[in-house]
Amino acid sequence: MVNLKLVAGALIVLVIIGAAIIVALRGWETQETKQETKPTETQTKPVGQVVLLGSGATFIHPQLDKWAKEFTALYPNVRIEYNPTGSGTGQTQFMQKVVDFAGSDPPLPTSRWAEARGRPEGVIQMPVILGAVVMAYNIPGLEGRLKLDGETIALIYKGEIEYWDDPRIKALNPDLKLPNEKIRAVHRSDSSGTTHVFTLFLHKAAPHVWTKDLVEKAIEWPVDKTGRGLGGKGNQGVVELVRRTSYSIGYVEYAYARLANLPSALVKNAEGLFIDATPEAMMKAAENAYPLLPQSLEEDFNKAWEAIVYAPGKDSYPITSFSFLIFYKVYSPEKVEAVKKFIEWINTEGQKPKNIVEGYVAIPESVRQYNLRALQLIKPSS
Amino acid sequence: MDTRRLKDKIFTITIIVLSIIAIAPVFHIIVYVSYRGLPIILESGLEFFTSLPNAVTDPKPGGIAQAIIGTLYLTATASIIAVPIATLAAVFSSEFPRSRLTHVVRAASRSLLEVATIIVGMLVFALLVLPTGRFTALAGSVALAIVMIPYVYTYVELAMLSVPRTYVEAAYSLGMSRALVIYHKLRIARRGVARGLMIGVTKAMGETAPLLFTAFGARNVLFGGPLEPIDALPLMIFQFMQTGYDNWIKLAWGGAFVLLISYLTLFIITRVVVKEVKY
Repeated sequence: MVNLKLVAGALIVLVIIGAAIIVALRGWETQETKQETKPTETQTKPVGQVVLLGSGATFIHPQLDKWAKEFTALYPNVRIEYNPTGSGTGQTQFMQKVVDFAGSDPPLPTSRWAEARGRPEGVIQMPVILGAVVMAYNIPGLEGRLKLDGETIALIYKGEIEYWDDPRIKALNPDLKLPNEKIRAVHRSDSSGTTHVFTLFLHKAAPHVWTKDLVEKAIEWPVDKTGRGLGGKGNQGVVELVRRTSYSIGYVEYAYARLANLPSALVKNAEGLFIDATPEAMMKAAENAYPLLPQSLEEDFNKAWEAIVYAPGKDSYPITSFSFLIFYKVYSPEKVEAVKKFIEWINTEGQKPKNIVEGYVAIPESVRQYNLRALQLIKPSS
Repeated sequence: MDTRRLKDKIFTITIIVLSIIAIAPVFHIIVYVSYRGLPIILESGLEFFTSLPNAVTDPKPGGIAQAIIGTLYLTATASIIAVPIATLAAVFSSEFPRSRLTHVVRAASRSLLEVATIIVGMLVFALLVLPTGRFTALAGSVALAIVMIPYVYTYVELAMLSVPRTYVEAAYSLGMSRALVIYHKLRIARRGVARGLMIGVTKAMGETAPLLFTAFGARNVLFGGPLEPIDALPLMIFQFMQTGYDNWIKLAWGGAFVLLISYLTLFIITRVVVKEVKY
């Protein structure tokens, strides 16, 4: 008796769940067929609109959104949606083929690139915008601009330089009145491309102080062990911490420091000159790194990406970085023209000052021409 | 004053102070979100509800229409999927409390409550997004439904179990059928049931994590259809807050205010419309 009831109850539940699912499915099916039969009635999207999905680096999000909107204003049948999931997730979703392109601060790691290149879809990477890491600081009462080099910054983040008036900082800033206060070193608490670029710079500028094992997207910060380290989530988190904490220093993406109006240090470049983080100095670094880009967009970009950090040239800002977009070589016939037009547009019109968001820096002309080679590589699937 | 009264006073005061401390964060949220969000909506006016977000370079922030439509759509579809399943499961569990199936359902629901919602998102990503190769509003609805189910189930079951046993016995002795008894039990427990539904709906409205890998977010269209990515208020707030740009931070605060008002309205409506049953 009890068993019968149980079975009956379970059956009822199952039937109703099934009915609910069918109703839900029918709901969107009818909606779809409606769109197919009477396409002129859909008001929310133009007929036959191609939607390109991108996912990845949070850094490029505001700039890419600006490009997407300007591009759709010109070509209303193409819509671009970008989801700022982080460089790592963007790369993973690119490999899983659930997006049409990915945004990433570093290029694909060599092993991933090799896997992607071996697939029929192929892979094309291109540096589309410049970023830079600046050393933002908060020293109350300090007059004049602070000057730092890779070695002193490395020693601060190692915890070995403890006070602002340390002789090693004084030697770089003979004309500044530095306070006898402890340095609070702010870093990212989350995994980040910014940290990767910053630690790579420290390693290249001071390899004996900052060893190769400390170059990563997320590391154990030696300064944390001294109790003078602070972790903030995201660029915005680091900006807030530096702003609130007196006698602190932190590394942030140029755009964030600029929007927050935080002073930043002049940093010594590979030729021994102290350089301000200006768009011109970043573009110079990119121009000087251009000869080091691989022959083809299909190749591994890791060497080139490392080359722009601490780039040669006396005008180069030393902590400059490329941010990449990653595309496939093969797209479906509906999407292929849209993708090509978008790549063409962002490397021509898109790089003009009116289409560059405040805080971002356009790539130099040489790199734009280089990126346009992608147009010959991208093909429709047959 | 004798010590007993003094003790009583001290105790009462302590309780009042502790209660104020306990609910202070709620008021802080309401006041602060209104303080940051309301001026933005007043400044933008109707545009805030009817247009899409502008680029960060625009002098005006634009609106959040796509996120409002998205949240409405996702919450409604998730409820359509989740409410029948959860309610029926709850009715079954309260009718057959000792059945083996009930034990399984209860354990499953309890563990679903413990699972971080991002895991639900990953699961739906693996089941619906990976095989089809596209992010869809549908995947978002399914993910939110899975998040909703254990909440609705738990509250409705508790509400059903709170109906006095004597009422049920009386109903049967009058010759009512089981279906009719269940119907009346649901009516008696309607306040608890409504609370369960409301908690499920607010949960779905406020979730970000399950949408990251399913609904994806689409901010350049009002509504693309169920088989295309869709935006949602919490997703938009989360992603806009991370940027340093004024326009988007304004939209995020305005969105937070809209979400807050929707919560409060839902809460008040359930309170006012669904009257408590006195035994």
